[in-house]
Amino acid sequence: MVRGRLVGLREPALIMVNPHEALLSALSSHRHAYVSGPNFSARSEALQHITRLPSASETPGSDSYGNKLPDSANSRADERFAYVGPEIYHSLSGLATSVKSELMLHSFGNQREITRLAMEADLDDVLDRSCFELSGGQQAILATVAATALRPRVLALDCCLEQVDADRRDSLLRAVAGFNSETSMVIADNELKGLPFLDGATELRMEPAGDLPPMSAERCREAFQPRYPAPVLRLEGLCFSYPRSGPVLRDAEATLAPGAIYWLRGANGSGKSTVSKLLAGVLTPQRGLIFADGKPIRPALKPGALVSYHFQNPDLQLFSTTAWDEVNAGPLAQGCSEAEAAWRARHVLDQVAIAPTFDRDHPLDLPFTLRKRLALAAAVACGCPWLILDEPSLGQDAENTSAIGDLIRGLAESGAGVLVISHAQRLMDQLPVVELEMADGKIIARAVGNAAGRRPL
Amino acid sequence: MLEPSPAARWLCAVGIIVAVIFTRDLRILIAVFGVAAMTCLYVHQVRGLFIKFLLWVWLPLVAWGITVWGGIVGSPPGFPLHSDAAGGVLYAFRISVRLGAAVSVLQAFLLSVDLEDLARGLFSLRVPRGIVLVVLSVVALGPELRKRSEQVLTARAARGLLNRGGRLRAGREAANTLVPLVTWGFRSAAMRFEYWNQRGLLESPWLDEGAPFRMIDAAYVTFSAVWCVAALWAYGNPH
Amino acid sequence: MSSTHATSATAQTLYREIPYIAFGILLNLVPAAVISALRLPVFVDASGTIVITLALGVRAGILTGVLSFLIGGITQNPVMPAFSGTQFAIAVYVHFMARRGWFRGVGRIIPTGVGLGILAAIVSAPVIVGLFGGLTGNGASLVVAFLLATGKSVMKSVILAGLAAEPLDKTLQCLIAYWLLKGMPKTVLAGLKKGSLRQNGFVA
Repeated sequence: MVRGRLVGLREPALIMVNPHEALLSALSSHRHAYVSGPNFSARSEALQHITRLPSASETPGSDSYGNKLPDSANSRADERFAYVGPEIYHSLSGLATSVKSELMLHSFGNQREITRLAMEADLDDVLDRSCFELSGGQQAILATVAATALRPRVLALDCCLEQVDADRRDSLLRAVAGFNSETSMVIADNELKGLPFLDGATELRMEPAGDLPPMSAERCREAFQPRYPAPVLRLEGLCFSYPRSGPVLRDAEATLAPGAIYWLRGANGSGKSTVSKLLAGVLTPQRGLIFADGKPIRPALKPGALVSYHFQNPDLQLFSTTAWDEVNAGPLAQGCSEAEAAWRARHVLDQVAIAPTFDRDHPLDLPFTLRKRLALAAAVACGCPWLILDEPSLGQDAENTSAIGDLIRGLAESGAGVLVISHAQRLMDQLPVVELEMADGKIIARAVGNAAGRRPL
Repeated sequence: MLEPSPAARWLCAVGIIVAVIFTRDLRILIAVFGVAAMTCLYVHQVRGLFIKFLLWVWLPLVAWGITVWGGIVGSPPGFPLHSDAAGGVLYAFRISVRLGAAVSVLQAFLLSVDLEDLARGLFSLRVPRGIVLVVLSVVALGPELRKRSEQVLTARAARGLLNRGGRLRAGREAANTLVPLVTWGFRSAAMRFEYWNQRGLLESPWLDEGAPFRMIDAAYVTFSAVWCVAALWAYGNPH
Repeated sequence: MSSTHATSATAQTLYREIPYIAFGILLNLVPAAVISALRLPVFVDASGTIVITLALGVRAGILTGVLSFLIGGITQNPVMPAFSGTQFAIAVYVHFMARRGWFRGVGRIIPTGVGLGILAAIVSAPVIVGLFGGLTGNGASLVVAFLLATGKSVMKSVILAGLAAEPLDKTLQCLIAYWLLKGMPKTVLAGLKKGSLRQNGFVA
């Protein structure tokens, strides 16, 4: 069981064994609190505890520090608490078919006020849409606004704002804070440091007390070469539409050279995933061709052979019953010998800091942070000449995000071609990328270089 | 103004469908089918599903029925083979029209309103709260599960793990592909209950909000109840 | 964990099952895309019923099966509600067999599935005869037509046609449910005490 040890930064004397009491104490003197800390510092457990959610604890009815969970005797009958976690879809009720209904469900009769809050959060355009058809960022905003509508005594936001556009986070938090003066907010996030809203919050830092080391930058740079040399990919006149919706790609064209890192950007629905799926062979273009070193190819004939695709959500791509098998299966399926597959698997698991002690664990039993890394490892282990990585640093703290950047750079330097889809500015700023933007169904090269010296094309 | 409330829709649909099932008179069945089918075709929300039913279920059924009872068997059930082809065709036709009438009534009443309103209408009928919550949950989460099913399949295909084969192999593949989906579903189910509890959502007044029962609703329900009773009585007293 | 709101302990137990039942219903109705992509020549419209019955017991299984076909009648195929009774029977049978350990291993599942298929064929027959006149318009209708032409009664023809197809279909669905539960992490299943997971080796 991972335990966190809380160290107050603004009040250095406030070193406590019991971070849950510290949090509650902080909230009694400051209205809002920001809990920082690396991965595996038990921030989530702390936030779940103070909002009366049972988390995975050693003893039912108490937390991992042996404290009994608070019960109704200590709170008023009409008090509510709300926790919005990193897996946003769990924070939506699952009882409402539309955004409007979700807000009405949470409003407990205060419909006019919640309508105003929804407008401030830019949800008025999507009120009639299904909650589960929204983008990740919109779902995060909806979950936060809906939880706020409850007028909870404590509202905990746990790494749920990563998917919200950076320039909207501050205004969202201010709107939420302004809705009800009696609601205290506790925020834990990997991407919020420096936000103006947090100037008024007390900051508490948690540190891991367990032994789950972070990824090593040096190890991450030791990439192995792809199984065969990566070809130059050329997309020519690609057109694609989904049934019952307009064209997504209209004569999209691009030339992708191995050894480079491409950052594919664009609004939701602009075609980033479509381009990725066409390259990976999951979809077939309705018009247009894909060339590899000048020869036309059809990736759909053998998906996963040329391009290894790492999806944003790791939970839907972990199919084996052990972590080891998950990473080992890819190289074996690609035709590697057992010895080579095992070597690749161990190498990549070391790179993502998943220790051999986890080898026999079920992948879906690991914490989200490790599941994400395991899925990334499975994609890299295949040794495909091209990789598409969708939000590879999701849920990772600053140190691990930096290491993932080193991993990506190592892959490119070893000769692979890498296409990255990411909202993590911190990750992309450290990489020398070619920026490609999806707009109007086309791919446009925008800039090249890293954050220090990115020049427009 | 003339549209029945969700609660009234449920009651009418059930009453009329029972009446249709127990009606022997082909003229009544044709009339019901005609009116309900027109309604389904007129209402935009219903049209697509109704046409799908007509083309994929009803027409094949009619074709099979007439072929078998009118041709291959050549008589209705209980009669000697090839003794009454016309009777066989009439039997097939009656079965088809009865099915068509029942389905078109069901779709006309129940598909022409929002599914969410329809589910919440069940609260007015004092259906056990747990069952209504299940229905609401299914309606709300359907799109999410559909999206995830496609994502799981895409992820498996992208890793080159999608192997087709014989029935047993394909069954094994289906299970392996569905494991992450079902694991997510179970985890989500466990968490969702805790969230409902934490937030007190099951006591939200929104769940119980519904359209009030009006005079027009009472008229609809009375009509369908009378028809249902009459049909049952006529079924029990054929002469 | 105790709620701050006035809800009895019994209601809490019932409400805890709701999200599972809803998911089981969706599992019966939705993964058609997966199945058709794999060209699986069977229906999997009872997999959710079987999984939920094994995991949460007979009450949850019955609700899953019956409600899935009632809801499916509105959202997918309007003739489904007529077969809710078959789903009820599936849940009861699966619970009965699972309690006695007949889902422990492929060797036991095959006869269990065959028995389930026979039961499903017999329970569905009156509905097929009453609502469809014996012919549903699918491939089984060919068998029914052949048997009718030999002079057999409608009911007998429908039952025999069902016995030709259902045992294989239901055995495959039982196997899919078994492989599904076997492939899931034990921690997800460990908290589910009311079903028959322990008796069949899915949890320790």
